[in-house]
Amino acid sequence: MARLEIREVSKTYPNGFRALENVSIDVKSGEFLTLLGPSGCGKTTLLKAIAGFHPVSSGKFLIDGKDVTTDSPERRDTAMCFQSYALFPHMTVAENILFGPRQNRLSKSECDVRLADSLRQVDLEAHSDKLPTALSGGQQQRVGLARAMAMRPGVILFDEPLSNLDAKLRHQVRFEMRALQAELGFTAIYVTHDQAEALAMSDRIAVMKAGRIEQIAPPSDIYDRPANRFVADFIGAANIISAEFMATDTANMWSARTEIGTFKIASDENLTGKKRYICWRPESAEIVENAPTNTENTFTAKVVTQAYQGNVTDIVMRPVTDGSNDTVSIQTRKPETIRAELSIRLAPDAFSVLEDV
Amino acid sequence: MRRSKLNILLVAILVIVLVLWLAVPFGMALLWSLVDPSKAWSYPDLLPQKLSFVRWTEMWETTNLALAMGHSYTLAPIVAVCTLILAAPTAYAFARLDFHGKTAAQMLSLLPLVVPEFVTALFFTSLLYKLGIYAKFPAIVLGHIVLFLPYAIRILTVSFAQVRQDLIDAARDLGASPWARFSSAFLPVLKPGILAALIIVFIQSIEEFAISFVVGSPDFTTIPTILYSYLGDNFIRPNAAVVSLILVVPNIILLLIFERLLKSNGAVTVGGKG
Repeated sequence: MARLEIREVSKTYPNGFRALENVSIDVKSGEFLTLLGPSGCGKTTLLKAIAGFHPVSSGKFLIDGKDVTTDSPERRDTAMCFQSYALFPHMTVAENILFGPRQNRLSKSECDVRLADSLRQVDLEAHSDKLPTALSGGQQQRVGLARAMAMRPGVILFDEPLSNLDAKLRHQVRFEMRALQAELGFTAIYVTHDQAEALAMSDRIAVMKAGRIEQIAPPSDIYDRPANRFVADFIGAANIISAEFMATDTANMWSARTEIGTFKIASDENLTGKKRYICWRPESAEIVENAPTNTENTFTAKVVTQAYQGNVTDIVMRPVTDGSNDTVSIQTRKPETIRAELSIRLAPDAFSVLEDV
Repeated sequence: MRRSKLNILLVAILVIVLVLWLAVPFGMALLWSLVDPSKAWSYPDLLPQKLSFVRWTEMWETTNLALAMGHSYTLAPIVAVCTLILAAPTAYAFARLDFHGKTAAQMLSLLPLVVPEFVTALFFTSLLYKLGIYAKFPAIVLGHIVLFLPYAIRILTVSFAQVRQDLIDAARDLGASPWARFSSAFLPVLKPGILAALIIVFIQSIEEFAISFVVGSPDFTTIPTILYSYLGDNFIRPNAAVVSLILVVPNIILLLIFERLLKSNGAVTVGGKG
């Protein structure tokens, strides 16, 4: 396990496309960091740059304080788990796992130890003499992980490793991988476009867009306190509206005028007189039955459509006070409370205050 | 039921075609090579009246077949290996690199295929004399390489294109030396292509006439130049049959051996995502 510092890394292609712009991340030893973003956001480019496959235009990579920016992939203390698994098809599982240690000219006994350890860690001892094609997708992915771990690298890089697995297996492997990482304590950089995967596995998530990092924070902060509209919208569902803040007399509590009504919003920031975007999650909305008119932090809306999901029901609604045709999404666990027109309450701490309008 | 009937029909058609295509000419060549000079095989006899090995012994004694075979079978492997080595970098570039004028270069590399061999041969010899290359063996080697490079380039381009970038990356990531990278990511995929290119160039070289004739005549003989001397004006069918059998049989045996080698490596080209 090792500490990885990414310092002001930029990459510009000869055609002028800026794949990475001034990216800086300090990954702690043993941390599980996820790079999350839509396709083309630069997350895979950054991962390949960390591995040494793509030279960067400027900036530095440091592993345990040592500058590795100009080192070739062969010499870097990183190992990669590929999306396609990239197992050598003509080699058995054991030969695949031994490839790295043998290339690094480790002694026979050391090779044996590493093979046995890796096979045990991914629970594939029974399959060591099989060819990769004889294994299922999930097993092949584990061979890929075992092969990476046999290098005993400082950092393991994951390039969307679960995207070729079916949904159920993906859930299972997600837990297994996280448990293995926690047990062995390797530093992991994990690339995915699947926000559920990112939220479930990571210590921290770096949300990327167009080569930049939009926000880097633990999963709960990313979800509950998104830094801007992009992050709020990309992670989970979010209702984003603009709000005009007024002066306040209560500490850390602000009144905000919006298209759907006036709300009290809790925030540590001084928001007096500011125009900002605010967002709230569908599940933080609360249906109030028989609410008297003008109850604080409540708005009235008509149901447009609803979709029963089992544990929750998604409802798309149109606020009655809103002149535009914009809709909001809410979620409820009590489908029996749904009427044609509903009063919705939003608690002051349900809101996140985003960037300026 | 209908399906199995259709299968039988298809197999029957295949057998008939194979008989017409292979067995009949081959059998005829064999029969003609065994016709005894004292009893001519002519209409209306369905089979020769008398069979003997006279033609074979006569051919062996009167022409320099042994020397010609020696030439052919030393030329062919040298040509095959050299062509392969020379084709590999071009094929790599066509398959895995992007550069300006790639399409034009690919078209150009195939040009020797459409120019008639005799045209190439005629101007090639004058070029060789200009360059001061008078030795016939290396001159023919060079000529054959030029002639057969397009085949090798074409076959190897397809093979190189099938090499998976993720395997190359994985090998590098695991600290592989350049040779280990080649043998783990490239070689298993290239092997069938390399063998195919070797066989095709080898057989083409054995059978090539134009360059061998124009460059080599009159003193440097290969099997085809002897064969052609029994065609045309000086047409002796039984003698030509003997030489053509000598030309063809080793090629068929070689083809079978190579095919075996290819099969034993077949599993390697499969693979990838499971």
